[in-house]
Amino acid sequence: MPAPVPLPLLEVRNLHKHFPIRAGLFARIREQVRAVDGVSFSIGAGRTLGLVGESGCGKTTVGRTLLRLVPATSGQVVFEGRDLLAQSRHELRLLRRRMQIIFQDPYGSLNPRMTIEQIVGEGLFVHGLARGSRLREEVAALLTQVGLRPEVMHRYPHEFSGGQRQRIGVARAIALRPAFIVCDEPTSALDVSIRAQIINLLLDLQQARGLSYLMISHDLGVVRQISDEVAVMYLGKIVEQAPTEELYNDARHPYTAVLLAAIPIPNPRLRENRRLRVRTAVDDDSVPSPVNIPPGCPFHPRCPLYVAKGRPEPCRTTPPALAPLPGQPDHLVSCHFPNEERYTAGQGQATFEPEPAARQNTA
Amino acid sequence: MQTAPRIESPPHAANATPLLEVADLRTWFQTDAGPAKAVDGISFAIGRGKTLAIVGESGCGKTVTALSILQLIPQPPGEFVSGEIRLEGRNLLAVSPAELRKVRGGSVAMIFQEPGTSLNPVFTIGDQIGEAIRLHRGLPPAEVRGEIVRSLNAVHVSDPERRLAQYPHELSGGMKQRVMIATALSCNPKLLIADEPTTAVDVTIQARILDLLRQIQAERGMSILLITHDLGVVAELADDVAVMYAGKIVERAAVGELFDHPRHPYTLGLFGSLPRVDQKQGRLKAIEGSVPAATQFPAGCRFRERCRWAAPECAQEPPLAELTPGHFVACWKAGEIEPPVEVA
Repeated sequence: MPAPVPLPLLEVRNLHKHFPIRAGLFARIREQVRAVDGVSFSIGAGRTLGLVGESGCGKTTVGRTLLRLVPATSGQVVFEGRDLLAQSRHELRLLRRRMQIIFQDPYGSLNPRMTIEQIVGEGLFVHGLARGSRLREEVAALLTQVGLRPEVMHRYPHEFSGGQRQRIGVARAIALRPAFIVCDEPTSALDVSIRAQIINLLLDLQQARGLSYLMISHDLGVVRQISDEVAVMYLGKIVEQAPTEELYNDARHPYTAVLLAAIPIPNPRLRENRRLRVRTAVDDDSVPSPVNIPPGCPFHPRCPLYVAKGRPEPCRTTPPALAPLPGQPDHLVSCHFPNEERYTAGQGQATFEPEPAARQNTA
Repeated sequence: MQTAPRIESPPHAANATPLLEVADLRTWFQTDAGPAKAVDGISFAIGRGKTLAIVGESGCGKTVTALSILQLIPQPPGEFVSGEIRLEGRNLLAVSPAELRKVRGGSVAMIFQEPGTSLNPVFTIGDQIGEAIRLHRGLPPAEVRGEIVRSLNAVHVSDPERRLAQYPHELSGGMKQRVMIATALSCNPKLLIADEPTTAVDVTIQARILDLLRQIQAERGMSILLITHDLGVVAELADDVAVMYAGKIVERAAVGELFDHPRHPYTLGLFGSLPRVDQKQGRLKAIEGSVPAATQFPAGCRFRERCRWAAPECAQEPPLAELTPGHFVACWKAGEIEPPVEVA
């Protein structure tokens, strides 16, 4: 369980989301895709949790499940003291005002047949909070807050660039004065200079409105700038979680180290360190399918530490628990050997030497 | 202010002929709104065994530059308005279609951003690599198979004999990209054009692909033209860097010089915009505004509407001039701008 944060706004407890695979004569359930497989965390008011991982790790499903955009298989999502997964439709509707989402794709997430006024004002209208000229004033104020001119409200999404569309998506998300926003890869479809503008916008809005964010991203650079705390997901589970600077300066899970080491640092001098870069242990490198999650530690088939340590047996047989490090209650690691791998982002090297077979590509 | 900067001379001028020289290339597209000047008068050269990175955002013209070299631009609406593209001294814009076919996939090969859509779904991996080998190297069928296996081994594809018979949908994204690279390398190109080769794959796979490109280049001494938006990837692979904005090269230098002393306001903006994994920055130094459409580039310096140093003289187009030896900048103010961003 995560360390207690004073008065968490949102607390997720042991969330599971399994998708059945049906096949055969009576479409019987043959297998389960364990997309989210026992995830727990909490987010305090005005704070940001970054949720990172590669394609297919389940991070997007966590965001959608906790908003009940897809039904959870089991678990609890306690928001402002109430279990969301147990609310009736009517109660859920009221709670939804308090929690919103910003999507990855600024092209697919705005209805092309609606004007910007209709898109941004829809929530206010549907919840009966503003009509007519009041609604237009509200929309104008929202557009100004996200850095667009109010006159654009009469135009349609196709008239805007990707960055402007993402601003419209942000305006829509903040219209109902939510306390919490799921940001699902809000910058990954954007160019470098536009990405920086949107990150700044999210930071400014958080400060002005005391918002809490769940920042879902594969981009560890973006997450470092925006998050108070970071959780790393792999195959449906959180494998490491810590306050942001702690995680980037003293990563303990080999998967976190591999992720951090994989990101090219914009400094040509660091090429000198390349021989010591930590890489996954296999050339045929891809995340296993969440249908067939490996036994023991799910990362062990790709884990460079497992190989460097001579393939110890517990990694193959016993799933490690997500547990705090001794004396560090807010740094959680799910690894049998959490003290043998320490990695600092940008240092370009790991504290252990992968065996020669594991680095034949990097020579 | 410095003394009047020298107008550019081609880089590597002192060396032997570079492998590829592009001089004053203009690739425009006719549209209803007038010509879109996607590439508008750029010049660069790539030395043998060297990597040049062209870096920029969407719409800057970097991909059109890459496609222009192999003339993979549909004409019309595309048009080569001016320029020469000299591969080992021979102008590719003037050779016959038959000769051009020998160049494509032969001495110049290309890998694309989307490994998923760049492989043909109805042919096996072996068929696709074999096609290039048969067409360009004229090997007897009996030897083609061995060459395919050798190509796959070179890019560390495990169990190549089995992979030969597989179709693209049976491979992961990282494996597809390796197969693309194997195909491109199967005819021993002198120049590999890599257009955003890692943009569509996860970071752990990206790291492996970059390792692979570096290793293969060291083994074979080929040149690479790397097209990317990612300054991290540039720092990993490039020897020289050209920064493009709105169809022009705005800055060009050796990689160490460019990262140590970026001078063009747009380059500075790109560095300031970068959320770094190795530093806590908080709010970023973003560039205001967005890239203008290719049919509506402003007269004079094309960056001036977003530039905090813009001055009256920027209404005149600045030449790409040599500020310090080997470092070219297209900005009237380049001599005065002290980098406000701490760059690595």
